[in-house]
Amino acid sequence: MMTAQKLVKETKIIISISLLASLVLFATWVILEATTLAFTENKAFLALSLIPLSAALASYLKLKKLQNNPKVMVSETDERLVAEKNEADAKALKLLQGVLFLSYLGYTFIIPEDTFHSFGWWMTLGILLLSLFSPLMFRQITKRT
Amino acid sequence: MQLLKNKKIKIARVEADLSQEQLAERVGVTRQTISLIESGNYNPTLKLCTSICKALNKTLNDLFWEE
Repeated sequence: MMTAQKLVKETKIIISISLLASLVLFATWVILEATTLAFTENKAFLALSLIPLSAALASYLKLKKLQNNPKVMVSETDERLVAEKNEADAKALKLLQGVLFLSYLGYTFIIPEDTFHSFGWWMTLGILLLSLFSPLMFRQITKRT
Repeated sequence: MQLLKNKKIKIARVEADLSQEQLAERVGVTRQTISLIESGNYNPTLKLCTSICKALNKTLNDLFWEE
């Protein structure tokens, strides 16, 4: 059963990581704007920095809600609800793995000349492998801790 | 598999003069979870079982052992 303190700690970590990611992307945009270095489109970094910022804001609001209302905390830490959420997450991961596999397969067969050559093909393969191996990796990390 | 209704918990809870809401609050879960355990539709973890036993001043044998 997840404890309330653990939940608050996890939410704080999510806020920190999201803010850091947002800051890095924003700083990249500032550097690219200030120097003569040109990426495909510098504004993309600014737009991307808004995504983790929004995630951090959402987590911050969740944290405030958790700290103000103990009943919300209980529903977030209830072992049955946590188990239901984990099951839904696992099913969503399986679905995403399927979609990624089909994308990889489709890409390879539709544009065979890109295989082993284009950045897009390597990205598709990398994301597919990450989705397949990251659950095992995290299981090992959880076992050790 | 359909779990058997756990009447022992309901009886112990009523004997302790607690509502589902009060028991849920003591063990740190929602009222719906207690309701589902009593109706046999949720199989609680050992940790939750022991919390319920402590809250109702009973043993695991008293509440969860099936003859």
